[in-house]
Amino acid sequence: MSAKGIFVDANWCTGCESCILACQQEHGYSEKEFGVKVFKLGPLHINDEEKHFEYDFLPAFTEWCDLCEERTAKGKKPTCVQHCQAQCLDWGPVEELAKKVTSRKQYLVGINE
Amino acid sequence: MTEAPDTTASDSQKAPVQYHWGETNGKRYKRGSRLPKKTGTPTPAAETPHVPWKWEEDGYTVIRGTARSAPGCHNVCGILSYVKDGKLVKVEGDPEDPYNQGRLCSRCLCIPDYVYSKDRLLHPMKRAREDRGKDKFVQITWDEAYDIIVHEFKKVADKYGVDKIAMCQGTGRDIHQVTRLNACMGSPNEGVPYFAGNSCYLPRIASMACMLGGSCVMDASQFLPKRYDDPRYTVPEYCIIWGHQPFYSNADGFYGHWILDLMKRGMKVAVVDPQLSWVAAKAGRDWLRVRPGGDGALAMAMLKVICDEQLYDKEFCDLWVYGLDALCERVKEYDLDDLCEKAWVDKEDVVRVARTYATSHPAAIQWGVALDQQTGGQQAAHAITAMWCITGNLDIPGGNVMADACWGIEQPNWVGTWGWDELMDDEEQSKRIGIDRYPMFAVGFKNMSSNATIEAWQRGEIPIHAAYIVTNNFLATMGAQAETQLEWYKQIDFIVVEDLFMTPTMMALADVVLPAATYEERDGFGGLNAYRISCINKAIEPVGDSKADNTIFLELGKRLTDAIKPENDDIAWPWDNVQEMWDYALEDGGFTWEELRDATWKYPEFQYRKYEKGLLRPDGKPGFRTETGRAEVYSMVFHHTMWSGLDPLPSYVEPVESPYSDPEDAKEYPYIVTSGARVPHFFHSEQRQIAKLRALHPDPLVYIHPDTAAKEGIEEGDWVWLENKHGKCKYKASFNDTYDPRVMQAEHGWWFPERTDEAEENTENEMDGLFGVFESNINNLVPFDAGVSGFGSNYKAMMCKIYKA
Ligand code: SF4
Ligand code: SF4
Ligand code: SF4
Repeated sequence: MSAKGIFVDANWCTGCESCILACQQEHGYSEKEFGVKVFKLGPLHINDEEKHFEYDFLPAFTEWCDLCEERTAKGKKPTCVQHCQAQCLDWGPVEELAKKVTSRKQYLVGINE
Repeated sequence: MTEAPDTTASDSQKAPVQYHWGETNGKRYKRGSRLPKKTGTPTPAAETPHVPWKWEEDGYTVIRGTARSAPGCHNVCGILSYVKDGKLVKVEGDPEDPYNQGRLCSRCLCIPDYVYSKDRLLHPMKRAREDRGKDKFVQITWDEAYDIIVHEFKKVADKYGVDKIAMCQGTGRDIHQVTRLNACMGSPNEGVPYFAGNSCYLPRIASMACMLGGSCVMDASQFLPKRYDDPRYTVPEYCIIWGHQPFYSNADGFYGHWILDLMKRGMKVAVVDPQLSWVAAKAGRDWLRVRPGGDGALAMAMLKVICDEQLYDKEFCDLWVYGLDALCERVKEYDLDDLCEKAWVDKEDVVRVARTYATSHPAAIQWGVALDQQTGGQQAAHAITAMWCITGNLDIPGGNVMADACWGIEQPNWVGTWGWDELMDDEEQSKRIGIDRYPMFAVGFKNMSSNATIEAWQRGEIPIHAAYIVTNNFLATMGAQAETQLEWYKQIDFIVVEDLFMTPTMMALADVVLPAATYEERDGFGGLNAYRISCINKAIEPVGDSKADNTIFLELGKRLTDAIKPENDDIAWPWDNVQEMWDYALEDGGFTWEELRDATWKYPEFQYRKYEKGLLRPDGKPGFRTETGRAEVYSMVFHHTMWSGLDPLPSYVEPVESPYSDPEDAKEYPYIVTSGARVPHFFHSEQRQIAKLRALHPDPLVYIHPDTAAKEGIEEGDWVWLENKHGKCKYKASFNDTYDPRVMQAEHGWWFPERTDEAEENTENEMDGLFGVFESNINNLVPFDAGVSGFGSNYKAMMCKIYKA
């Protein structure tokens, strides 16, 4: 069986952190446990003249992430994917998701090894 | 001296109130109105979805509804509440709902933690007046609470006059029926009297009302149930996001990520913000790093470019706009270099953004509270509104569209008071605080003027003798110079505070505490937005003895009317329960509350270019609901009230206490600080006790340029004092080198629910107690002044100095 994973399109992640809360609520986690955490990159001064900054939010997945096994078994999306306000997360077989990775700000994590 | 015509109600104001009996859902009610009785059947909803509102799933009962307060928020996101054994287990976004399309922000995702927080207030309580500020509350029953309130309000009404009883609101909760509580007794005073300059949305709404006879909102397709796929909709080519953090604030019933949806569909953005927000970084060169308080200069600069270069839509202006020539003359009085210099923005950038906006079709402007929070903000709002009027982006798909209450259902709540005319006579109405002082308050809005109230306190008067404070924690949020205001409010004879948690304001002032309930614990409907009416659907029984705000108003309202103005008995609160009250309110839409619940949401048929179709004016003629019938960039309302200092044309008014208006003080206070830098997890002063949300943002932060910090001997993470002549406050420094080194931004709404010891032990020094509310309180630095309009104080443009704590 092929590995499943999560695709992140960080071109659009606004850092709203809904994903963290969605995950905690679904799994009954406390504030100290989370399947996903959001890191801030920048703002980096790429070109000040042009006001070109690199400023991104990057979700990363922890060992508490079980890819929402229970939900997906019932045909639902993982809760972070559903609730992401920027709709910048996706999930599925990594081979499928890999096709979506076309830019520096897009990445893939395989979770069900 | 000329009298202000009331444009939003000019046709109705003079007419006497007519009373008649009518029937709603099989019950007879007496009604009163200055407008002729509505006839005909209401236009049916554009879409009634066929989705169930309740079902069983894997051992849960799932209830579909919309999230509309408490907690505070003006949105009506679609939710599915999962309940097991009578307990709310989790909430999910409703994928079927066109509003949020399955998404939710962290505040609603966390709602079970909020509902079952150990800090929730569970019972009504009372406390002796001499014990204000001390944790000496005693649990009582609802009957006893109501009896005390009725008795004390009656005492005040008899002794000082009923107009000395004020309903004091906050923001975010569906509590607008509270205006009927003051009206049923005969008091016209309702508002946010501690909020200097009524500095949230009202300045913009009032400006638009004076110019357009109504208000506008950016069109992100939210009026259309098919949303972006509706063929009538056009994605804006360009959008200026002005003084607004859409993704974290979800402000004013505009779900912020709609902006992102449009960016994905090709919309380009410009961002006017002192902060390089995430979306500002996406704007590239079109990020305009405006000086806080310089928005008026920037708006006039853009307007000047559009007028001087004749980039306006001539044909549209000829047909629908009043005052273009006068406006073109007006902008000639300004020097572009000077305006750009005052705005701290490069001329080249201003010119480019103005040109791009004027030549993109459609183009939209999505603005935020920053414009309301500076003196001169009302004038800036006038200038920005003129931008979308003269470029023909008014009421077109993807522009800024005229927004009305759906089926007129919530109209009374939009303008201030439900029952204003039917429950109060002219003399009672005339006792509203501030209408003679600030004429913009006489134009359609029924609130009391905050600044007229503040000025009365400053003169040593006592403008309010009894206060009903609901959904407001003003010591932490909107109260400018809250310590000073607390001393004033202590003089009030009797104070009720209604909320869900023990707040600093409640601890400091409440004689009676009423525990309110969340949207999970109540039935109702959301209609404060202009897009749709949606159902708030009770999923669980209220925790403890808490009750929905609306239930409290209905129960208390009956008693207050009976005790204070019994002649209103048969008309004020004739409903046996809230559902009957909702049926009555929804009648203009042609459906009952149960029918709404079955559908969950109902969108009225939305129309673009309403001015062409005669849909804006009561007489059914084309045009706008203004004196000239046009969109007035030269406002006739301001023309008639020029005596007060209001200007019929857009202008740039430099805020008080700024480096330009007060260069002497600027030597001592060289920096500018804003309040209200947004964090996604908190609605103003709420949610600080919700562990999962607080963990994501534990401390009050001030954002500062590292060079400035170095100069002042501050390292990242240090606690610092911000100070000016009004006061000081303490924040933790967070570095960001994209700020102008002269500018810093502080968060607002901070208090520390965890510091319960201090609240209990605060008998000695109250300022140490009250959950530390004065400590990290940026409002300590806010001047009261709101300029000639009475709208807009400098919450977002204070001079200050900074030093290590
Ligand atoms: S996939 Fe599920 S378990 Fe993993 S982070 Fe997202 S919500 Fe948490
Ligand atoms: S919910 Fe989506 S947009 Fe928000 S932080 Fe998570 S990944 Fe980013
Ligand atoms: S914007 Fe956030 S808090 Fe407001 S209703 Fe939607 S999910 Fe709830």
